[in-house]
Amino acid sequence: MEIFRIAAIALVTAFCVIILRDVKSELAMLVAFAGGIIVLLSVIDYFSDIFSVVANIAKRAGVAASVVTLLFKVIAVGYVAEFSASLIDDAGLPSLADKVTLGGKLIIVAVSLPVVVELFEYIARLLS
Amino acid sequence: MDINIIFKIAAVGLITAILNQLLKKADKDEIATLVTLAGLVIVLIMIINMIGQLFDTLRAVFGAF
Repeated sequence: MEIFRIAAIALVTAFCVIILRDVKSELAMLVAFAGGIIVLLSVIDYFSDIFSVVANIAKRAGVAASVVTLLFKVIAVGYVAEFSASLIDDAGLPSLADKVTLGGKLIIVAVSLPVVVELFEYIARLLS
Repeated sequence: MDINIIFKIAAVGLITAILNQLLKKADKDEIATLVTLAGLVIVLIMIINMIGQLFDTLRAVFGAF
């Protein structure tokens, strides 16, 4: 099962980080980075499976393709922003992590504005 | 992309830390800092390659939709 592999990698990474911190090496944080990346890479192919299913369902439900691609873009931005923010937080810079999160939020809002505008126009057309 | 990268980085970290201590005891402090820097650069290059691979995979997965 995949989960055991992830747990094993994470535990080994934590163990190495503890050792390196004990020896006062600056590379402890970099080992944590590497561990995080490896765990992500091992689960990344689940994403494509999930997305293909969601895309099929959305197509059958008649949802516009643009909305679905926008949804995935927002997920991608959120995913990358959260990943880097948590790594930076681990490195001991919470203020920087908050800025990365803020940047991610702004990008998501900017990307999803057209859909909101489309929604309002639709409502306006209904009411008029 | 497996566990051996973590071991590689941990090994580089350990070696640089130990060399640092040794060189400090032999009061060659400037060489000690150079060794630390060298270890840091090596590991940074490895990490940057991994981050590049991660973002390429992300773009491949998300770009497809």
